[in-house]
Amino acid sequence: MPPEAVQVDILQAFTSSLFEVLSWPAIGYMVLGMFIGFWVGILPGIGGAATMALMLPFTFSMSPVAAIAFLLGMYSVTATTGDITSVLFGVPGEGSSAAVIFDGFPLAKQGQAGRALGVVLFTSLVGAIVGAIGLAAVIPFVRPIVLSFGPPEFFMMAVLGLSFVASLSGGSAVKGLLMAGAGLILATIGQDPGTARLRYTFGEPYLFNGLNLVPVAVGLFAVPSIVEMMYLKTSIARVKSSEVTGAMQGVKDTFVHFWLTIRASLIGLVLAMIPGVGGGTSQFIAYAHAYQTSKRKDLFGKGSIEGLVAAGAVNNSREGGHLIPTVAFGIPAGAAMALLLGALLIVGITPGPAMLTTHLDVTFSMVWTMVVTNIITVIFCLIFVKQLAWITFAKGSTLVPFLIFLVAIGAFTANNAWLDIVAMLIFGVVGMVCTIWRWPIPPLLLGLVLGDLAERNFFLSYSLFGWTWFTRPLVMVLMAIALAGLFGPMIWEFVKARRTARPALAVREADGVPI
Amino acid sequence: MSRSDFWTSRLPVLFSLLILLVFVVAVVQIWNFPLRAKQFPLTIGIPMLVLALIQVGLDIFKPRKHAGPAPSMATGMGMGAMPAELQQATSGQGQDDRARLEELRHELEELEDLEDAETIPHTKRDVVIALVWFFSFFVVLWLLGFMITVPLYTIIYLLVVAREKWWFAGVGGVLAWLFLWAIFEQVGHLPFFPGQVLTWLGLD
Repeated sequence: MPPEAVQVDILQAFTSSLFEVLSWPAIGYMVLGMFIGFWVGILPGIGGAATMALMLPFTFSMSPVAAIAFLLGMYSVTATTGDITSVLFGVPGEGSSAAVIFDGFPLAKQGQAGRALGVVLFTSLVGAIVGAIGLAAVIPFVRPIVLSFGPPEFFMMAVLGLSFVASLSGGSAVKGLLMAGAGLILATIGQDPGTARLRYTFGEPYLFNGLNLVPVAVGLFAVPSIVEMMYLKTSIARVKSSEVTGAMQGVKDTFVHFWLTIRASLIGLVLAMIPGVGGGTSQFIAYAHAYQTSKRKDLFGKGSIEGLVAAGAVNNSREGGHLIPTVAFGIPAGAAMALLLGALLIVGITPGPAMLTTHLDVTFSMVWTMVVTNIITVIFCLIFVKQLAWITFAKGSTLVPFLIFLVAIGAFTANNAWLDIVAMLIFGVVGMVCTIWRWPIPPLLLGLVLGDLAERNFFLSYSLFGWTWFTRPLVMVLMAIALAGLFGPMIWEFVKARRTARPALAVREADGVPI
Repeated sequence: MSRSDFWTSRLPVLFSLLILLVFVVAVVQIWNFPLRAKQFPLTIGIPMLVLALIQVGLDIFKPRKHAGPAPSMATGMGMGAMPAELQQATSGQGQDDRARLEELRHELEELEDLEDAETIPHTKRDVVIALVWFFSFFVVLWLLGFMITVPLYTIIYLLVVAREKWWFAGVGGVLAWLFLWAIFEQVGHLPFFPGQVLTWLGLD
């Protein structure tokens, strides 16, 4: 296609997707998703990924744009509303909201809760818009790269994504790789697409079509969360919050530190593109940057507006960054993106080249969903900020029966089979055990989601090129990056340990102490 | 180290052995399949089998003490590995700035675990009771089906565990049943199973 036609094609998809997102029923599903995400972000226990797993079955009958609006609308809101409890109570509503506590909670204790909320809400909005613009801006550049990829490159992208997530998702890289491998093996259960032989079914008809993603995802993520809520039996608000006024001052603060907001957003956007880099890393780097560039370092950790700006902005910009590898290469950047990828597969869309050509409108609908949901959420929160504080006194135990039956229904709707519920319970036990003994769960889910695509690309690579596909230049580059991602942190830890040991050694030598 | 500590520190080896078993079964089961069917599983399975053996060895001979609180079940993961670039974030700083940033980094790691189970007092008995309540829902579900289990469990749980007033529990049960009936049966036309008891009694 000539370049001018490509630009028109992209522009048309960009504008038409806005109308699709704002039309019925997509807008209705988006509002519903926002409503659910709002509660999930504020209330204790169940997080964004677990809720996405729970809601996955309900996307079966939706159109692609409606499914995206629903799931992404829900997910976008949880990061924003999670900041509210961080500021008011010093409890992160979501893991990605932890850094907001550093300066948000001290400001609340100084009677400036409203101002702090104004800052985090408005910087979240700016961050989300930067993330959305980043996603939209990258598409014209990424498109020719993706279209030049063949099956070997797509297979290596899957390996790259899995290796990054395996090594960076917490715990040891060996455990991460083993979980990723287990996920890939689980994905092979059922009929082999090439020979129609049944693999790993052990004669059980339920397994003939393979494991359904929904009961596995619900079991791995939602079950451990709900069991934890059951034995903790708390609400978030363990102390009374301070008076919440002055939110508009916080909005003005965002404009005073506008360029810091943009820089923190860009940090979140770029780091989020790397699969497996957690929210904690992005938050700390953005926060450290704000600290480095501040003239009032003494305020950091005690109520610094600059620190709060950085922490608030980085949260939401990460969504756009996460979507880039997920949409363009089919490589989810984490558990929530793996679930979104699963939802796309459920509604019949294969991430990769199709998302940048025939389904470009679906890709841009993600951009618009992030922008629209964050605008609505921030306006709503700024207006009802005082009332929001009361929601946090809700008891977790009151929600439990509804969550359990949602979990059961969610698993059941996969195939309308009792065995789906059994599968969900088995993976729920796996999820709980993994958490207790520190085995990372996201690589398992990613392996399951990517397994089918990885196997097809692996087989196609071999069929088209024999074993010489390993020697393609881009394949070798991707392999080198994957190995660096796997072994780099281990080598760095070894070098760090040696450097720490050397000064101690030198001191002992200087003292004449026998070593 | 006491004998009980010795064995407790090696319990995680059970899960590693289970993972090893998964890959042993995966490789053995697929071995005699046609090349097309076994190519991918073997490409994954054989290296993973070797890795699993290494992990079992690590768990037996070098069990790790937990450095801090266990990750929250809600997220399934801890803070995540901090890449080396974090060191560069503090490069060019004075000693005080670097120390302060290091302090803040540790505080951030602690805060990420703040909603963690280990920071909220609870006992093993609490956990066991929670697990019993959780799995009992599914036992009752298998016996009585969705339409009876959902309202019944809601009412009993709200009364006994959440210690809500009887009218609140009653309203909760009714709302749960209505939600199930309206959304999933009437609109969604989900074919709910009747439950084994009703099947045995011939009432399905």
